[in-house]
Amino acid sequence: MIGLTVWALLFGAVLAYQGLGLVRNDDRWPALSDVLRVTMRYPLGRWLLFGLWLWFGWHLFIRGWRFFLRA
Amino acid sequence: MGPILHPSWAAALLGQRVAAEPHGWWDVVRHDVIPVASAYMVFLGLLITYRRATRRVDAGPGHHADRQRGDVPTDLTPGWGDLIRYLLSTVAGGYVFFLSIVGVFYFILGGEDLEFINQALVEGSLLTFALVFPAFLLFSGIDDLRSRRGGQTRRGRRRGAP
Repeated sequence: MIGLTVWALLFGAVLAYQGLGLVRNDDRWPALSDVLRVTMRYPLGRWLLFGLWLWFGWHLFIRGWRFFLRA
Repeated sequence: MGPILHPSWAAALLGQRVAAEPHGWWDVVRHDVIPVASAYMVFLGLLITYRRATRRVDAGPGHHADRQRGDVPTDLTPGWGDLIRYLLSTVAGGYVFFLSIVGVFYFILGGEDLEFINQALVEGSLLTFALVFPAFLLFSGIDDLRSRRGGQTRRGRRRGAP
């Protein structure tokens, strides 16, 4: 249960950061969507993001629901 | 709290957690600390990339060449050949990165066997090249068709670019 709580806190922090970035839309607090858009200008960034997206989809749609990194 | 009180997904999740109970500090490090630290490093890397890219833009017109850096097509009228090359390089590179995630975090740190790696290789390649790549092409085609019907020309549109 502690693990789930920590994961929930981490996801909550990410969402809170995104909210802050959207409300204060400047370079000091960039929204994650802005960060991803800039990262995708570069091949390495696209490979990294596509790899992570693929890994996430592989977990959800092919392997079935497994908690992250617990095989 | 009995398992009957949990939703079905939570019961499966908790059951799995019990099965994967760590047996020592090294288990905690390799299953929890290293993956979370890696994700955090990736997050920091994204922020640093953003900061550097926006600094170049803020530096003024003298740094115009820097803005062109990266692999975004600067030709605003790319054809299907350009789009296919762009998509293939993206999905192939991403697929290699996906395999490296599986290799490092499941095979080396997670102690999975080679069968698991083979499974990831086959399933990941199916997902990438049989599903995602055709879907990207299909959606690009639909977008192109809609643009033509809407009276827009392809000039000025950055098709395939994020």
